[in-house]
Amino acid sequence: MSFVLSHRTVLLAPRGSWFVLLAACACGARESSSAQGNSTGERSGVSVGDVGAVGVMTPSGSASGEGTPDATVAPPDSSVSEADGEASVGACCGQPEPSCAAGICCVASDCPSSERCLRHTCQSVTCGPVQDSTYYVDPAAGIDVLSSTGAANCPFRSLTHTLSVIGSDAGSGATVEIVNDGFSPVLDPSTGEVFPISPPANVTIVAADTTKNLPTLRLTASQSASDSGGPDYVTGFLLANPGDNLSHLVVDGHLLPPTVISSGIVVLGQTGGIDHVTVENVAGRGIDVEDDILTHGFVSLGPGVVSQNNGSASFFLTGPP
Amino acid sequence: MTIKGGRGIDHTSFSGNGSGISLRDLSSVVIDGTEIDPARPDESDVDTDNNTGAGLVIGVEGISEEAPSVVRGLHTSGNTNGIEVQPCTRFTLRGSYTGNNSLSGVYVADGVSNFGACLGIEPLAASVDLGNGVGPDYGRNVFQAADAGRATAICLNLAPPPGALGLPTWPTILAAGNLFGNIDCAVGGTLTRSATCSGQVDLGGISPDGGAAIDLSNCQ
Repeated sequence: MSFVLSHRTVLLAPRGSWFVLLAACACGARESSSAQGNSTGERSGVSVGDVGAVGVMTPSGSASGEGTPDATVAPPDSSVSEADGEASVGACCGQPEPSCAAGICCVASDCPSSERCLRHTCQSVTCGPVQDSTYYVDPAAGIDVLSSTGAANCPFRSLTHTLSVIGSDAGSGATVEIVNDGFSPVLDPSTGEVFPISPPANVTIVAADTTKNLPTLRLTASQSASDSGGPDYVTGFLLANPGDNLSHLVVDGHLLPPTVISSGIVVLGQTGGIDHVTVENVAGRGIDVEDDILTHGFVSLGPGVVSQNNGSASFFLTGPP
Repeated sequence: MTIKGGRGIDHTSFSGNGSGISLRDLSSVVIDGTEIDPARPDESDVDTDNNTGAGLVIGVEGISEEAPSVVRGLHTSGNTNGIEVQPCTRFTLRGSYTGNNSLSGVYVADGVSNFGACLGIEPLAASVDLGNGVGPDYGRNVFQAADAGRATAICLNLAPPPGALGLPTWPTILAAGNLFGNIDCAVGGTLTRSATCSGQVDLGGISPDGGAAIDLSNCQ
């Protein structure tokens, strides 16, 4: 039997063994990027081998099972109705969509507590260990709980929690990849972020897919009391240790009230770099580098850095007086 | 501190803000963009455009010597001043574009707190280098034209040095081998001048009483 998936294509499968009825639905922002985001082999992707026993219909209709490395889940612009045809009302990528039903997920809460939302499918997962010191953060589908590991099949939800797990010593280095396979994820206090986000030494924070859907760190004032600068000052990232890097991200402050002084990124004299990062709409300084005369020239900015629509200096650099 | 430019997704810009790039105290910066092609002045460079203040401010306030700032391939346009710098700041500008700013392309003025960054620098030699006739190591910068309805291409807003500084004059501003509109000073030509910086001229604010001097190499 062969199927060709397209919008409005319906595939019938028994859900008990992961055969499900797949029906097309529009999932907002995910739609345009869904197919590529679900293909295997992407940095952000989770191979079937990672997630364990999952059998789903491939676009050609063949069933894939455990250990099949290139199995493909249903495109996320499809929703799932159970075989009995009863569609539940749920959130699909944060959008209320009656056609999104059990089995298709976009956020962790779409799934039962015993399952995880991986590649838009609720699955029972045994969390694997972190490989090559690379942690994954998925603000939509990740979970910040002790049972998470930050591995590809058990992403954390927030950078804040991930960095707390890494601790004060990342050893020779760690990478935190923000999953962005289906849409541009937003990280803010509602997803567990506490500002400023300050990694230990030798940590790189980067979008898992550097070609599209760049993650946005959205500054809000709700966490400002915890900021070291006081209750009326918000900093997105604070890079205070050697070897910290930010890459392929957006820092946006458009939701901050004008009375809150904000900086997108503050860098204390160190040896890291920032590339392909956009900082925009903060009331204060976009990128604030407090250079150290002993480390002149060691902070690298660019290529691909854009600082725009910020209230005061786009890029402010100070040294010791 | 190094800022790298590029084209496409590698493009780096600091535009539409209160100011573009602002340096203070003993900080310094190296801007590594592709040198400006006058025919295509906005490719693969580093942009500091359309800020409500200046595009690049080097406001060194320290009392000891700062590391030099070296800028290549900067496109600074649509600001009030393209570049603001003090007369003793160690600053090199090459292959950059400072046209179409509302006031001056390059604005040189002495700071209040440290006499234009001259304190603590010995020996006192030319520090602001927009192009050096020795070598020659021309600037190849594209400055705004005098007839563009702007204030000046280069403004030297410098009163004679204060007595406390012990300087008879400010250090010479080097500005050899640059383009002022259609005048290529690597070849020669006559630039327009004014004693003020509001005269829509190539060079403004040059005082005959030792306030400042500028070396334009082949241009008059």
